[in-house]
Amino acid sequence: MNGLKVRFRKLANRWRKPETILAALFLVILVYLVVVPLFSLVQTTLVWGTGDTRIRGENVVVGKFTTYHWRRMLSGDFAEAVFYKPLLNTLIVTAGTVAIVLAVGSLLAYLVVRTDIRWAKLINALATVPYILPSWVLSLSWLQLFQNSTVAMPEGLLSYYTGINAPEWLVYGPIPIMITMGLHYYPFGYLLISGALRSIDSQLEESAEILGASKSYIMRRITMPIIKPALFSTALLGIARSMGTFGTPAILGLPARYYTLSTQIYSLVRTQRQGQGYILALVLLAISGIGLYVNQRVISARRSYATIGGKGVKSRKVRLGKWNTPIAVLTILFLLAVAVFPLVFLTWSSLTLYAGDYSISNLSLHYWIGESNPRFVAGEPGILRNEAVMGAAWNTVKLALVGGLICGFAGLLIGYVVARARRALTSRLLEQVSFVPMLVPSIVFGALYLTLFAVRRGPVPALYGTFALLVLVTVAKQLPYTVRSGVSSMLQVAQELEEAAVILGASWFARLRKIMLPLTKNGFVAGTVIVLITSMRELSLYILLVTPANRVLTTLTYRYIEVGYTQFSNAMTVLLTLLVVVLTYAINAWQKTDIGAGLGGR
Amino acid sequence: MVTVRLVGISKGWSGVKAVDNLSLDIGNGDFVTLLGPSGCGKTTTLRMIAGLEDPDDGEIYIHGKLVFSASKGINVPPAQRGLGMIFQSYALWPHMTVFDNVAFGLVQQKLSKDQINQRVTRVLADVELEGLAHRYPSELSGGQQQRVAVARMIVVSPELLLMDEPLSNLDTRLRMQMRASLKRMHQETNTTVVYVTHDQEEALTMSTGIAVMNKGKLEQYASPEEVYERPASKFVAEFTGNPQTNFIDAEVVDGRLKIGDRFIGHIDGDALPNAVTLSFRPEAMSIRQESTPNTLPATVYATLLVGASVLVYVHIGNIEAVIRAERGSKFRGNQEIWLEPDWTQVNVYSPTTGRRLDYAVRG
Repeated sequence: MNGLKVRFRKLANRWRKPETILAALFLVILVYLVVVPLFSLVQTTLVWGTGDTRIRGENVVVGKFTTYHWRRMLSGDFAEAVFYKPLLNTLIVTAGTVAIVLAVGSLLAYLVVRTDIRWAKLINALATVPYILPSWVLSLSWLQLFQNSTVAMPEGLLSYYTGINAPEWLVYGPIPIMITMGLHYYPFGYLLISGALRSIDSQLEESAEILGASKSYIMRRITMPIIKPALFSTALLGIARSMGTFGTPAILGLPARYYTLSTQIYSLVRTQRQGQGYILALVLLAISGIGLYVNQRVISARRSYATIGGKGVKSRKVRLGKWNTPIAVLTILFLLAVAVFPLVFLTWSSLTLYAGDYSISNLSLHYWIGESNPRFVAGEPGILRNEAVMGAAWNTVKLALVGGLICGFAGLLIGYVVARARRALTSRLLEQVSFVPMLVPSIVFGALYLTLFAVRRGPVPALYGTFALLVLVTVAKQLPYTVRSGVSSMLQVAQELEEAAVILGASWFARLRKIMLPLTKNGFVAGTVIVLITSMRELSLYILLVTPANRVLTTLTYRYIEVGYTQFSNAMTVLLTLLVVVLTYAINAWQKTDIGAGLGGR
Repeated sequence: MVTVRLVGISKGWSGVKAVDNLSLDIGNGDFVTLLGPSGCGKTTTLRMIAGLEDPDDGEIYIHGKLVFSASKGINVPPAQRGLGMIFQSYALWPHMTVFDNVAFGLVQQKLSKDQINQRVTRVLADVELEGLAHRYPSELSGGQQQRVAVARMIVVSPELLLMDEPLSNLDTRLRMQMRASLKRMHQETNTTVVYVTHDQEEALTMSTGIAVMNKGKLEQYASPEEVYERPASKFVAEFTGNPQTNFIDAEVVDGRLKIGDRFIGHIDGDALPNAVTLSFRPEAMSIRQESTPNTLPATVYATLLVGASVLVYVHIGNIEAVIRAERGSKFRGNQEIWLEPDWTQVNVYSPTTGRRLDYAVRG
């Protein structure tokens, strides 16, 4: 009896600690935002939906159990067309994309980190630019460059200036999808791999050299194994991201009826066939899960590699010699082609009154500031005086700021809980669960929230069509990034710094406000900025969730792309890009000036 | 008057006991050092006194007040235990100036601005940091940072000050200076200090009492002199050795001690065991050039000059030992020498339990 009492008191003592309460609170919220949706997703595939009442020859009772969706998706002509074909396409496109990400990412990383290439700083800066561009910028500009009359489109730049008509496979389908997605996603490969390369102490390689190993042998047996975890992470992230990307395959695939899983999910959900669409979502999820499992197996066995070098790493640079300048120029041209020219093309296109005519006389600011004219884009006024566009732009900024701040703060608090009680089961669970959204493809995540918040459930109101739902989905989806930066910045703050304040009688809130938050501000800002950028240019996540009431720039742009308002949507894309760049730049500038002297650490 | 009383406290993590049934009384105004190798539970003990760690078992009293009891479910928060703590890393807040660091505790007590100003200024003068109030910690030297950490805790006038290896991050010269200034601070303020270190020299020089810990248990709790001269166990003798303590196994034959085939010295007492382990500090042996009764033959292995004296590494049979000799002593490698013990400095231990045996030894 007494033992029980003591145990109870011990438990009560533990619950007095704010980190325990916070951990429990976050766990409940995360379970609701991440785990419950998964169940709801599975459930939807096993019951009749409201859109199924049209189906003949079946006893359709909405909400009742059925295996109809699975039967239909697994065999027969329908399954062939909407499941197996798109699955194969997805695998092909994903493989191609990841290959490009790895090739471009590692080549650039090698050039910048391990060679004495000229203008390395400029190359490094340019290499990360595609990351902040919306994913479909490249696909739109790809069309702007290659489209022509053979695909029943207005002339693109290539055709206009040279008369060469690109064949259809170069305009639409897997090849352009792979290339544009690969060139959009390579920056994170570049960042991961260059980080790994930087951490290699060249003494490791020099030792091998002294022992008589050849360059290629050293590369194979020493350098590659060390950066292997980074390569695997790159591949895994590449798979998760490109599989869940909607914009690029929609723009470059749908006109040629080339479906991937993400576009197929979209079209099924849009036609009220959630039951079937979500089966595809589960397939995407399963592939990501397998990827995660493989990655864990590969990396956990090699975790000890992560700390190699660390301090005072000496890196001897490979001399490029007389090839230095040509290689540097080529690299810069390539990066400009990927990061800058697309925007130039889109801007140019947005300034042409009639599509396909690039002559001076056709230049016009109509799609930017023109008054409503029924002859163009069904009378939509130019984007800067268009209420729908401006509303969506405002929504985008609002969403990015609100979502970014909430997400950054939540990441920091979760980081605090995790860092304070590394051993506790709750913190390990918390860390694991908060990373799940990273692997759920965006389009699937959107689908999850569509089912979860379509109707009122218990105390949680129906949020479909509200701004709050967009904030929620943003926070949940981007949480892995802020949790990661939150954990690492909290771990950098020695526990003693907080304990000193405990001894001196500061309450938990006082400690948080005066000690922990000021010391982790950099991590907070970094996490918030990432969420901000990602959510502003995110289309796949929101495409299933928006209604005319809560549109954001990306989804509105896609609507105009769908109906073929090329110049108009190009103008919007440019506007969005400008917003992202300006906001990112502003926050960076503000954050730098705001960090006081003495924050250099002890 | 007892300031801190620990009654049977234990603390473990996943089956491993860091502190095992520890009881300790620390008197008012004492400077008690918890001494032991890393992992012996000394820091955990200190953190339990502070309230930063909760014992699994036992009770803690501070100034007669029960602040923790596992069985009664009492657990007074750190801030209400009336103590200050100085951390190994100093734990100065890098985003606050020296002034703000020191004022922090007073701000928590909601004192007026004037009072805070006054007290911070005075304590900064006490630790000789006036003029540096508006620097950031990163702009201070290690010794200055250490003094800020001290100032930050003594400004709230705690009656008990806990220190967790506060000098281990300083270089040798500075460490000596800071020892002196900490000791002086202790005398002037008459605060009770509990001090954690793994440095036996630091423990010997600063404490009024030393608690030697090993594997979560208390090996010996006594004055520095007692700990040095009469270590309660082989472990304590070993750990307080400088540079090491020599142990030699001896047989007991008819009240005489026999090392190898040589009789040396006598052992007195009832119920003598068959075998004992003798301990000699390096300074407890003198080197003789020729064999006399009661000496041990040895060969010189190497000679190291350590400033004021010379350390002679010798082999006694197959035992390695260190002898402290006068500066200027010269020995060749492999030279034959004879060692004569100073029996007043020899301790007797049980070879099996390692505990000290209370037998007298003489020449």
